[in-house]
Amino acid sequence: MRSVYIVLALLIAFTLVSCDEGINPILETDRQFTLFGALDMAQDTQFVRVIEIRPTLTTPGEKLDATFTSRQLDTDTTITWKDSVYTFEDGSVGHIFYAPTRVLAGKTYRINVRKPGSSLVTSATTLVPFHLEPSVQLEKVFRVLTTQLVATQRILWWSLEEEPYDVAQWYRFFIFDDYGFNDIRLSHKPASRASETHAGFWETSIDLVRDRDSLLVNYPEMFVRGYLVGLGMTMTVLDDKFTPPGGVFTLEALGQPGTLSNVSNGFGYIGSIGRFSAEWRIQDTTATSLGYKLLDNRAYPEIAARVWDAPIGTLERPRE
Amino acid sequence: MMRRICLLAVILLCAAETLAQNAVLRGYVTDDDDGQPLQGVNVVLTNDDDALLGNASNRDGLFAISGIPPGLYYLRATYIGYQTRFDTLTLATDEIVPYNFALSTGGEGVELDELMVETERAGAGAAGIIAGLQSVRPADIQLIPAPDLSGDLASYLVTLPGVVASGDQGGQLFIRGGEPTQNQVLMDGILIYQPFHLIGFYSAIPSAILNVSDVYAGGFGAKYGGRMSSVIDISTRNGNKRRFSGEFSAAPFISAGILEGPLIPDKVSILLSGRFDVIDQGASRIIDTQLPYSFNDQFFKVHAITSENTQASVTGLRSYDRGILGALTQAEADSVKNQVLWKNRAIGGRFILLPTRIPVQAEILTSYSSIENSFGPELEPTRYSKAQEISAAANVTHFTGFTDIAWGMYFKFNTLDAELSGIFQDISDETEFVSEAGGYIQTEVPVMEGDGVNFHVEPGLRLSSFPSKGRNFIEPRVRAILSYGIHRLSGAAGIYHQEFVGLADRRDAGDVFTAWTSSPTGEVPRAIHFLGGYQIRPWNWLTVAVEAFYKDLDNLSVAEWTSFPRFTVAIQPAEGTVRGGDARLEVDAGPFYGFINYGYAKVEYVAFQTEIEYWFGPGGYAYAPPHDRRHQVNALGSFTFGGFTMNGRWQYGSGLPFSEALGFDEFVLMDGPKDLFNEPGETRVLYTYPYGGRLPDYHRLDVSAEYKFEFGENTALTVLGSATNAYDRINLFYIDLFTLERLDQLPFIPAVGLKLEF
Repeated sequence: MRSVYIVLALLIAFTLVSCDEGINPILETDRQFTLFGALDMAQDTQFVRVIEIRPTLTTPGEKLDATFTSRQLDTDTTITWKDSVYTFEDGSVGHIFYAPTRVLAGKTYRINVRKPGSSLVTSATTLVPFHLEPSVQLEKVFRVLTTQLVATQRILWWSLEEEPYDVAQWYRFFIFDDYGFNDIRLSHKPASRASETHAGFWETSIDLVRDRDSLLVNYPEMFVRGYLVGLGMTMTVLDDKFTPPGGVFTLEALGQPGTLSNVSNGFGYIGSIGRFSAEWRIQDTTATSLGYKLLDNRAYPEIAARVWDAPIGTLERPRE
Repeated sequence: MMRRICLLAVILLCAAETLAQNAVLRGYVTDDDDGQPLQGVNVVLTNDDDALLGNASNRDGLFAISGIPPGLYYLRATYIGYQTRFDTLTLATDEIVPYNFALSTGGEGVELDELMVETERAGAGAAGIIAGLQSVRPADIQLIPAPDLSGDLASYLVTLPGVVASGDQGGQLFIRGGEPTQNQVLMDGILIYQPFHLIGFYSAIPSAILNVSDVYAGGFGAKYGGRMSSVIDISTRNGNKRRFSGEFSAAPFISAGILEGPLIPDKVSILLSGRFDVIDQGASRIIDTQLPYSFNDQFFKVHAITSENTQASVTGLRSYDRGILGALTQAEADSVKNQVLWKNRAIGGRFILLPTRIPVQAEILTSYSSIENSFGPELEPTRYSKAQEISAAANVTHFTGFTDIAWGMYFKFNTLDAELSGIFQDISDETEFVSEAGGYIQTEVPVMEGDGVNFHVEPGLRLSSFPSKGRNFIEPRVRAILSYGIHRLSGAAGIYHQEFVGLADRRDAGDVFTAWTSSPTGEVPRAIHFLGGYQIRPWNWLTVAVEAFYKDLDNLSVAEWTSFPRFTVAIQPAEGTVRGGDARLEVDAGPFYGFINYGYAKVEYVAFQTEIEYWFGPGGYAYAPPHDRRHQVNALGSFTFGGFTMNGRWQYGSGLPFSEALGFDEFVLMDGPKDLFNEPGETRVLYTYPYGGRLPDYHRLDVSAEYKFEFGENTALTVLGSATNAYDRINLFYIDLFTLERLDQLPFIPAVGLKLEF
């Protein structure tokens, strides 16, 4: 009988502990916002996506209480950004803050986002890539076995010691009928262009014959109606922190919170993008040997005045 | 490899012939009431010179005493609860004497002072663990309070320390750190892929059809292979060979029926069992909560004594489970797109032969097993997996007089189908055919016997070959038992490989879909087990046991870590360790039976996903997988007085790991200049370290009381009253990280059940 009493006592005791143990798998955090965006030298308006960190899996709302400022640390110039509520194609809503401003090479910018009345600041700092100076060498032209034309030109980008994010290349033609210029972009994949990284500069090469062949196939009218007036190259360079772990940008790798993040009290990444261009002309003899027509500036002075007066490639480094 | 195995078989058979110089006494022991084989009957021969020879019957009721010098002997066969059998025999040289007999109930159960045959059968009872082995009898299972009267192995297994269930829903059992698909469940030698129903109280095998179940939590011998964590070797009983009988029961979760009887009296019997859920009509109404589960199982066994030396049986099992786990709303419960379904099919034949000229038992097994697992609508599932195995095996045991030598050969043909809608990124949708052949040999060597000391070592070696994959494995195993008076020391070690693995996304407790595949990383999962234990029985009513274990796991495949809230089992390689220990105390004192056990286990995996070094540094990330339950306590008490039986069980488990988060945001892949207006981003969970948090502890009390009304000799009505989760503890089963809604395990469920036996 005593055993029965013990069992009853245990039952009563257990009943007292039968309360629910609450659990909240979402931990309290000081992190308030996730920021994604990049300050772009090529843009006259900058954009940054601001996402409020939510404690539940709800869709982002149209209301976002946040003040967004950017400050150029060198000049201490502060700009307040504006919010735009944008509905994406999939119907979801996002807050993209913007400011009509340009960013400059080699300058450091600090982004601050805070909730009104809160002392917590979600911030990120980014250094826009330093200015790159191009150096275009004179083209090398020769024939193999007297028939096969070889024409290449090397371009050196000083102060760049890593592979650029993107390289764009174009040929500029003037067409009388349209009375205007046509820039024809050709792909420039550094890996296939004998590109190399050196101490103090990055070097790539243009295959003028291959480009000519490509233009002949895809834009034959440029050889009939167009006059070659110049070549150009634009470099897109990411800031030095904008490097994915392992060298590859993938959703799974970067999706882990904190990976490739420079945001304090938050998540995400605010990068900066440098854009640098070089424009030049190839020598007339090279152009004609490749089959391009050249504009006689003396015959058409009015047009010549409109033609970009680019330098011919030079071996000299433009500036020390 | 097959050639070597066949050569070994020939050598062993020849050796057996030469060993048969003295007499051999062998036979089957059965229950006189229904013809069931009796396991653990001590059969002892003595003579006027005080010679003493003996053996215990195995699960087929077979005993064999070899190496008997010719002469006059006095036989005594004892079994607790049965009348002792005495006989006088004259045995001649080189004679193999068949000696089948039946024992009648009602005896005092004489215990032999002079000889207790030491076998692993002593591993019965809650504290009866020997080197990882625990035998579970139907009577043990009946002690566990349950909401019905049919009893079930699953209810008992979760009382064992080191056995972790995913909850009372899900049907997933983790044994000493192993994944559910690393457990091998054999029923009469037939593989059962998914032996548990979605409701955790039930397995596909009701206790009423059980003879005995050997549960090896690790360190299993060379006879078993193909799984790397544990073995549950279930032996079903035969149908009654004397008369037709049966039982029907009804309770809030299931209704069950069993029918058995002789097709040819004393020769051929049949046993039929069927169970069907009645959740909608019963349990759901009692707790007024939708339980979107449906399951049933059917079983049959035909057993025939075909001659004095041969027996044959055919066994079949079918089970069906369908349900929606983690349904938090009525809409989710009604939605078939989240439905998980599995179907087991198993059928096999077993033939036992005792050759008249040589002292061996030969067993031939053939079987077919399959599992179909799908997720989504039954007719058009979004994920589907099917595994099939056709197996043929021969097992031979030699009774040499000095020791028993067991060896066997097997051949298996496996088919694996997967249609995974591209979700399992590392596995293509295809049908895979894999053949496997192998063999084993193991023996029990009596290193020391006498003066109260009994030291047996059981070395073994298993060979596995996969000709279609060009893989071969050699797996040494050893088990050892040292008995000295009331003390018993035991230990085991072995190497285990598992070519076929079941992949599941363990990050989500609500998803139990499992895809069976051949080792997906190209490396075959491997485990090394070490375990050792001590048991003491200071008095007949008290047994205390402790056991420690360590498992080293390698070449595991676990789901890749991702922060995006979507199902994936893109897999990554991992390795792990499991270490822990159990302590058990068992009391069997007259009307009271009880036990309390405590289990500690620490499971740690180290995963090697490519991106891990970017996230957590080099060397992989170590984590506790979601079945790492560190502490467990199980206590059971059972009183029997008058016609009443009262049972109570309390169980406690410390919290399971889960991944905490800081919140949610959208992730925009910043891989260079981006037009933010074209990038809505992908919703992301801001996880902290994987599985860094712990869910609340789990504890529950179940109680039951039953009374048996007997009407005549063979008819009885048993009435059960039970309370599951008696103090209505709110135990968390599943928390939806995305909505923060929680699904709890079953609440307080009062139940009444009836069972009619005839």
